[in-house]
Amino acid sequence: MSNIQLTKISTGTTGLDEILRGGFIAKRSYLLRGDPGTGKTILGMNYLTAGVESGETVLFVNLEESAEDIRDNASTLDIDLSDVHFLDLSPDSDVFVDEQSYDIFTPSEVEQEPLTQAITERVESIDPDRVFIDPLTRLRHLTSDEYQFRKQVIAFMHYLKEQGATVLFTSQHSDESSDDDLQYMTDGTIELENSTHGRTISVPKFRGSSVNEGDHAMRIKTGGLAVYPEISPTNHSRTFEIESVSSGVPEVDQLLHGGLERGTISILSGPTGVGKTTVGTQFMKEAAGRGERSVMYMFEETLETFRERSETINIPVKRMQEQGALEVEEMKPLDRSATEFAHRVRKDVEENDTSIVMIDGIDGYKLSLRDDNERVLVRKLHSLCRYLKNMGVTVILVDEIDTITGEFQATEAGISYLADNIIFLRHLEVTGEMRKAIGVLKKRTSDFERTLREFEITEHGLKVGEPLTQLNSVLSGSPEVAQQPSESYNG
Amino acid sequence: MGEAALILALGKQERNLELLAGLLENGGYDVEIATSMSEFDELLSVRDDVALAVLDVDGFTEDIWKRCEQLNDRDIPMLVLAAQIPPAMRQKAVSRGAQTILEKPVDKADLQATIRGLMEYIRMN
Repeated sequence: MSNIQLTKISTGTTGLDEILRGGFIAKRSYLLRGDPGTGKTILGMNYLTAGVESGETVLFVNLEESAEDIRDNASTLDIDLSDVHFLDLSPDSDVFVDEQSYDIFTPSEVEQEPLTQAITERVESIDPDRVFIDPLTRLRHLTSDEYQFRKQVIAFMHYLKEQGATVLFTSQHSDESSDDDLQYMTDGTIELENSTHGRTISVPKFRGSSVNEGDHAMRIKTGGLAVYPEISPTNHSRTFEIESVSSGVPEVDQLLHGGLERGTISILSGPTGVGKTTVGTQFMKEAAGRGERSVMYMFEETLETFRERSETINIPVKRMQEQGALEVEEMKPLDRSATEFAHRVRKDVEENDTSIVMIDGIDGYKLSLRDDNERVLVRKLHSLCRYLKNMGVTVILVDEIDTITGEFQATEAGISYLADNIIFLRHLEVTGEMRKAIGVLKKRTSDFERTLREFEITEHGLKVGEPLTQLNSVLSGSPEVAQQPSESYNG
Repeated sequence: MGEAALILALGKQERNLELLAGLLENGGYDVEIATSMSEFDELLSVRDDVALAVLDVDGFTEDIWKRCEQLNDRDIPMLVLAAQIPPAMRQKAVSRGAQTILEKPVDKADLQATIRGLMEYIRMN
């Protein structure tokens, strides 16, 4: 039990390898639990084919589905099982035709011996490095009682380990026969779940190594399983210079005493139609000018309208996209879970060196992603933002508040604690005219201007005026003129 | 030990007889099997060295008890097997000379021990 170097082997699923910090530990046994249809067999197939790819001998012990059915199912997913050895112990269809049934002895006395014999013979003849048993719980029906079953399973696992194999086995769980006990007998347990919120995978037990906790997202697609690990922000970081990212509008930079710093989270809050997206895009336009890449995840608007709208206010979205300086992703509702979304953002940041990420907006995010409740969604948004922060990405979150004017609210999403910076945009009614104001409510990394400025969105872009010092009660939405309004801005 | 003792096994389900024969042969006995009454009658008519009869009575008609009487007349001990043994059946079997009645499924070890016991009893008498 000293410092034995534990060899890790790939599970065949990149995301799962990441969760297990490298994969399964060789020569150990793992339990794969989950209801019917959660993807247990597919995970097993991926596990075996990963072995084939690294030149190992692999054995699929199928106790329920026939080898032929398994191969057929694999081929619909484009998984190649041609180099996988099968030990087909599935009940023969001949049983039905031949009247092979019996009642003189119990199945445990009749079937078990030939079964174990078949397994040992096969294991000894091909000497596999990886074994997948699907499902192991069938042995339960072939043992006379719980004690015998446990004894059998433990002996079987020992035997396979002695033969040098890494074992993955599935279990079937029902109310009358729980598989809870199996968890005690293995080196690790992987649980698969499928709910209306999407498929998840978690690792409640893993001996000999730490793992990423949590419910990670999973998808079944061509080639087998894709696992999207939940982001744990502390595992990721990148060194970056804390510098200001300019908006390209001098007055906005003045409000922010420079701009938004790299590796900070900013919330752009304001009522509908006030220009939140435009202000956010302004930062991206300026970044594009510096040759940096930005990504915008649009939950509330279509790419078409966004592009058209931006072109009319001098933000050349199309050109920025063509240059590769801006990527706009239109997020389809209920297409993915929050973990999958976070994984997608992360992949993009790591592969493309993205410097600004904008999520437009938080309400759309909450509605579009398939997670069970708002708290989970906000928590996942939190960890995504923390991750992006650690990676030196400037994060812009767009948050819509319901009130057009009146009682001032910073945000409604319950995430203002998350923000390093809060920029708010407001509609104002001054002497019967709708106008707009921008201000900064919070900035963690530096001081900021404590006055509001009026702004307009024109065909030349964002125009921001001088501080609004002549108005009182601006935050109420219907300010009073402290003195006769003069030219308050030179837009 | 001399020649192996012959056990005659009767039952409707072939797989049952196969398993039973396998077990008995492993125990060092000779086994003849019959899946119908007529096969059974024929075997009885040609073999006069039957030491023991094992009868799985499930699926047979009441005629089976007549065979029990015949076996009893020839001093062949009987072991009767059935999935359920209501008191009336137990009475019929015992009154026709069945030594032992066991409920299916039987434990292999139990069955082996019972047969060994019956064989010893036969030798002693």
